Amino acid sequence: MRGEQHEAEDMLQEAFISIFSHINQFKSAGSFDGWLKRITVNTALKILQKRKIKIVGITHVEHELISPDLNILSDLNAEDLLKLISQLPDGYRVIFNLYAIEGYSHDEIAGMLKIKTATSRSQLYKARAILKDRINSLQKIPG
Amino acid sequence: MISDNQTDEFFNDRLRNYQSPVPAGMWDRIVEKKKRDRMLWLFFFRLLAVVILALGLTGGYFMFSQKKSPSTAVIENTKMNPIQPNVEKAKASESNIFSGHNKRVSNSIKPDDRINHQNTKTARRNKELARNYNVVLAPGKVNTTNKIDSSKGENRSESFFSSADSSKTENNKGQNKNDSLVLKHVVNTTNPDSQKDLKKPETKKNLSYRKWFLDLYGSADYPNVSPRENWQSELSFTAGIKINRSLGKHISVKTGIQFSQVNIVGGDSIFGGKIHLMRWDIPVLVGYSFGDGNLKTTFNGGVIMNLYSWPRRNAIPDFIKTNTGMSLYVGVNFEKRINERFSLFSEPYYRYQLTSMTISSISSFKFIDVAGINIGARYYFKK
Repeated sequence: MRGEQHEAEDMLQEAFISIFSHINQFKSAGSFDGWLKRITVNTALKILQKRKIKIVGITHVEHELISPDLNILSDLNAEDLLKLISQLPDGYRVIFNLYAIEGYSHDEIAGMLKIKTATSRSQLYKARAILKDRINSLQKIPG
Repeated sequence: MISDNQTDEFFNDRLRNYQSPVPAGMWDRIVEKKKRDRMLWLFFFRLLAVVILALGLTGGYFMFSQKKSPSTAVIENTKMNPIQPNVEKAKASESNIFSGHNKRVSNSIKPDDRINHQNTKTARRNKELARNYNVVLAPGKVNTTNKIDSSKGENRSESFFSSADSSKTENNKGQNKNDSLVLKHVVNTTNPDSQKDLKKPETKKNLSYRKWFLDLYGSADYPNVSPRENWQSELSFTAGIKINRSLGKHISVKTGIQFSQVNIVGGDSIFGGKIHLMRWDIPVLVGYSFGDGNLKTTFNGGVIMNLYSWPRRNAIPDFIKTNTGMSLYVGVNFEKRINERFSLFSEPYYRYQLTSMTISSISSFKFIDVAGINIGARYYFKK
């Protein structure tokens, strides 16, 4: 976790440097928040690409997992959810973050990561399955 | 039981606006990192400028030292005459030509005469080579004993052939071990040991007309800010490399890459201070040249397209565009040929900025023109 924290700080630092370096390229017509988000996401992806994370399509999807109860989900706070996401494999985590949290479409994700749209879909499916599995296992732990 | 979409929405709701505190010291680290990056770039550019300058100076030094070296080159070319036993006949024929006394009495061509004729041709060629090389015979080596002519009292001091044993050449037997044709080519007389291959030197015309040549240059610049307001110019510099292509005797086109640092100081309290504007540019120029191979003048003109610009300054946000567009370039190049391959040049020039370099809404100046003098070395590639 400490390594991840450090990596996240590095990403944030690079993102800020990139923002300041390219501030004059910002067109006032667009949303500044959106521009910031785009630069930050791109910077993070660049760093991940340097790490050479592999995002490959999944041909075989395991059996359908039982979805967790909504009440269980509501008991989880943001930190719990972040912890769950951080435990996902790199490829799944990136795509889940981009799709579910940042709101990018599969086509956009495919473009950003230079992968096929189908790969993005399959990775998301797998990420969801793992998350549901983890949440179910939390459900089984009393208290 | 919740669907996939509900799961996504749940995560989105909880995490979309999630905020975590910025780590302590982040801002300091960012400033430090930016500073470090700029220092690294600056070091790289300075190193590049130093390397270009050093290459130019080293090239210039070697060119000058080669030209002014007092060494003597005695060149022996034993390949000049393929028919060695008859060399003295050639000398005799050559001597006859020069003295106006052709000894041939018969019009019929005998085998011996044929060889003689061939040797005469060789002798002429050798004489021409010697003239091209401005040959001076070494003391004691001058063949003043051309027997045919001397017998008539017409000794020729301009002869450049010499034999180790001229007394035996009279016999014309071709058996003397020392009778091979030796072209003693004395450039200077202080070092008779050094030898070089004999090559026909290029004429001045040929020197001035090669198709491809490469320029390495650096310049001291003086920027001109417009609108000037309270900006002041400081000494700046440019360094670059250009490849040139001659399109005929007078016209040439050239392009390359150059780095400039433009230094200005002034401005206001927000967008002021000392600015070092760094820029990478691509010049695309056309030149018209005249002059001889030794000294040449070229009028150069064209455009300089900016690749990337950035200011080295502490304040942010940057208001100078990352691509400052296009400039017009005019310059007059004075070139002094050093040797066959190298020349040195100087080129006063003016670079006129055509497009605005800054984000107009927040800056107090728009253009920076530059006047400067390029000093550089030129290398001519083989034809």
